[in-house]
Order: sequence, then structure tokens, then C-alpha cells
Amino acid sequence: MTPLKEDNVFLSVIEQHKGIIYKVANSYCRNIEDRKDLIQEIIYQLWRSFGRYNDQYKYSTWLYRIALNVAISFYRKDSKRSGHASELTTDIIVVAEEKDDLSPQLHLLQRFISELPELDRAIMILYLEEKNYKEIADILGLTETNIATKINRIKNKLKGKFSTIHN
Amino acid sequence: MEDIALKEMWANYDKKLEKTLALNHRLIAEIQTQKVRSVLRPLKTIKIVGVTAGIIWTLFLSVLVTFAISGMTASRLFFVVSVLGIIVTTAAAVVIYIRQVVLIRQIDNSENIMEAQRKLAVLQSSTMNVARILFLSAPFYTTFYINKAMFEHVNIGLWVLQVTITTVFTITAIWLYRNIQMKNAGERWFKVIFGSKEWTSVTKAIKFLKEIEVYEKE
Repeated sequence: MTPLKEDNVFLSVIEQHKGIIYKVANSYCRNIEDRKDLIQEIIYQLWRSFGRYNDQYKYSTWLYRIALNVAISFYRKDSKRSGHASELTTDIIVVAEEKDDLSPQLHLLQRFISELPELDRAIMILYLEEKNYKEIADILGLTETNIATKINRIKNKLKGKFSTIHN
Repeated sequence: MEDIALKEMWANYDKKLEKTLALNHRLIAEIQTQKVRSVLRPLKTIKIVGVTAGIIWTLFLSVLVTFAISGMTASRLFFVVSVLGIIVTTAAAVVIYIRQVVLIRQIDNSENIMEAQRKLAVLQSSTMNVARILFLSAPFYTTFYINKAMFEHVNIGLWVLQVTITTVFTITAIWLYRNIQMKNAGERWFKVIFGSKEWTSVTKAIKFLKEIEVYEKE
């Protein structure tokens, strides 16, 4: 692939999957400034890895792996920023409408997801993104049986939290 | 709250994001042309600084030892042995750091999450081994200044103090070397030593490694 073509393919992959990047970043960073840094870091790492992309996997699988790995590492190392992101005064992924018309239920779901341990959070995002057990197992590196057990446990945990709020 | 309701909520969120998210192409181009770099402090840079500092310190001590050996007298024996002890422990720490730099290059974020996170956590937690080894050099810092005059004009009080300090440092260093391990991360003394901010990422990595192990077994 020529460098120019590679640049364009990368741009179209990011364009197509920007929602995934945003949702992963939003699930691991509730703070707006941190989220901006995390989105930049995910896209930076995606670009670094793009030349080695293995086409035996779908773009979305490759993208989920990198986005979640970077988000988990970022979450663990949150006190180790070098401050490069401050060079950027605008966001890489911009939310065009600032008006917050998300339902209260969705806000609760986002909050409950962000309270889950890092690995449970990754599984739940993939489950809600309609990934099947095999894909989730591939992305996480666990067995399908293990994934099924964990999804049930996490769902019960979330349902418990919703019912506590409603009672 | 049914499964279907959770997924519906998420799908609605997805639809809304589809309409509202826009990509800033200029910033993506800046990343592609390397104008924007990682926001995380590069782990490799920190290790390379550690290796460089360790090598400079080892070379400096080696020069001192070489001079001391070239004019070797019995009174310099403590100095030579002590500095050699410090050189050996520092060199061992430098070797660990060099191994870590090699390991950093092998970490691939496109690997599955368990594998990539395990490698990263093992790497971060192995920094603890550098501390273990460097603790072993502590007793040598209590002996390098012993000289001929201290034997010729014996001061019992001074010698009692010297032997006590060296013994305490030796026992403590050996004990720490044997006990600074992941299984003791919950102990109070461990938290006192590694409780500062500089060690946060290492202690978090140790905790996360344990979580990964449990997670795979559950």
C-alpha cells in the first residue's frame, strides 16, 4: 500500500468506527479532559499499529483490542501523563450537538458500567455492542464458556443496581 | 431490567452518536505525520534514563576501585570490597532494566487483552526486582569508609556502633530481598516502602496481575 493510500484507508477506518472509540473512551474516562487525552492516545496507538494490521481479523476486532488495551492501561496509569495532549486545543472526535438529551436510564447505565472493574467493563461494552461470545472471547483472550459465565454475572450485577435505584 | 432493554438503550445511544460525532481530520493528519505523540509518559524512556544513570554510576565506581587496587594496601581492603559490592548490585539492576526495554518492544496492543495486559503488568511489577537488588547494596554503604586508623586507634564505642549499624543493614537488606514479593503486597511494611506516588503504577500492576490470574480461573 502506498503511504497516501494507507493514510486514506486509516482515515476511513477511523471514520467508520469513531463511535466505538468514543464509547470505549467514555466508559473508561468520565472526565472530559481525560477522555480527550484517551481518544488521542487510542488513535495514536491505532495509527502506530496500522502497518502491522493482520487481515485475518475484522477491522472492528483489531480496533476493539487496541482501544480497550489502551483504555485499560490509561486507566491504570492515570497519574503518569506527560501532558502532550495539552498541545491540542480541540477534540479529535467532536460531539456536534452539546445538548444532552440522553435518557436518565442511559445515564445510569453509563454510570454503572464505569463503576465495573476494568475487565468486566470491557466485556460488558462488547456484549452491548452485540458482539457474539466467540468475538468477545477472541478480543479478551478467554474461553467462550468463561465469557458466558462472566456476562451473566455482570448483567445480574447491573440489574441489581437498576432495581436498587428504582425501589 | 431485561437484557433486551439494556441492549436497546445502548443501541439508541449508538444511533445518537452516529448523528452527533464528527472526526477532526486535521488532527488525525497530525498524528499520521507524527506531529502529535503519545500522551502517556513513554515507559521505555524512563527505563533508558535508569540504564544510563546506572551505567554512569557503575563506571564512576569502577574508576575509583581501579585506582584503589593499583595502590592496594590493607587499609583500602574495606573500600575495595564495599565498592565492588555496590558495582555488582548496580550492574544487576542495570541488566534487569535492559531486559525490560527489550520486553517493552515486544508489547503489542493489538494482542488479546489478557495477553497484552499480563505482559504490561509483569513488566511494570518487575521494577520491584530492581528495588530488591538495590536494597542488597545498602550494607556496603556502611563499610566503605573503614580504614587503617580505625584499627590502630581502637575506640570501642565507635566499633560497637559500626558493627551494630552494619549488622542491622545486612539483616534488613537480606530480609527485604527475600520478602519483597507480590504475595506480600498487602502487608503494612510493604505499603510503607512502596506507598509513594512513584510506585503507584507498579503496585497497581501487581494488583492487576492478581486480578488477571483470578479472572482466568473464575
